[in-house]
Amino acid sequence: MPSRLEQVCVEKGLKMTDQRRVISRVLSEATDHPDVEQVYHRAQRLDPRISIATVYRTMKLFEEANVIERLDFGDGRARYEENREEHHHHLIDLHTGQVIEFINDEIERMKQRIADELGYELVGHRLELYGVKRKRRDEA
Amino acid sequence: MDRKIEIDLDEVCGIGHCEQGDQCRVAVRRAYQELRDLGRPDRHAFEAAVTIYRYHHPHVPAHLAGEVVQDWVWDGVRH
Repeated sequence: MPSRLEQVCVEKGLKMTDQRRVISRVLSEATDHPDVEQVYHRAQRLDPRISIATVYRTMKLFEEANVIERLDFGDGRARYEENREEHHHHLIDLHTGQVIEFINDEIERMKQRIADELGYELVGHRLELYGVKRKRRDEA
Repeated sequence: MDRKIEIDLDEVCGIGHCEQGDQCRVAVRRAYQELRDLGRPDRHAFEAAVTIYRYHHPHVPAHLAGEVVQDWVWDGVRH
């Protein structure tokens, strides 16, 4: 059975070789945020023929196809996770610093519409909401 | 002629000086850490932390706010 990531790759028109299938399976099954070396070691357990160069090339290809997302944890190593279908935004509580993740279809549609209307293809964005809890604000 | 505003960082929001006690610092550090844990780039997390700081201290100039927040979120490794 194809992995979730492999299905996404196929939907995006990527040609899936055996080695790409192995790497997509490793990434699909990862519960952490592996870097390239970790992906390589896990992939090697499934297919010892896979080289580190193949893993680098495939990760780059997946990243460019927006199938996986590069994360920055500040430790100097690029780490990856499967690009989740649901795009998260953050609301940050100004009093406590709590970061709340949320998904909003209307925002997704709106940002796409704005880019369309301006004649652009949307390739990225950044949105953070800042707020104070209503009860706390009423007390002030 | 521009007047230079000199502000002692300890007077800006040090413990014992900040009207809000340690709440501001706790919020700044928490937001920074949570965003980093979510894998957001350091620059994004830092800017969010500065935004929180400036909400609590709107009178503090941006560059000083940045210095204070940098000091608060510094994890012991300077790059």
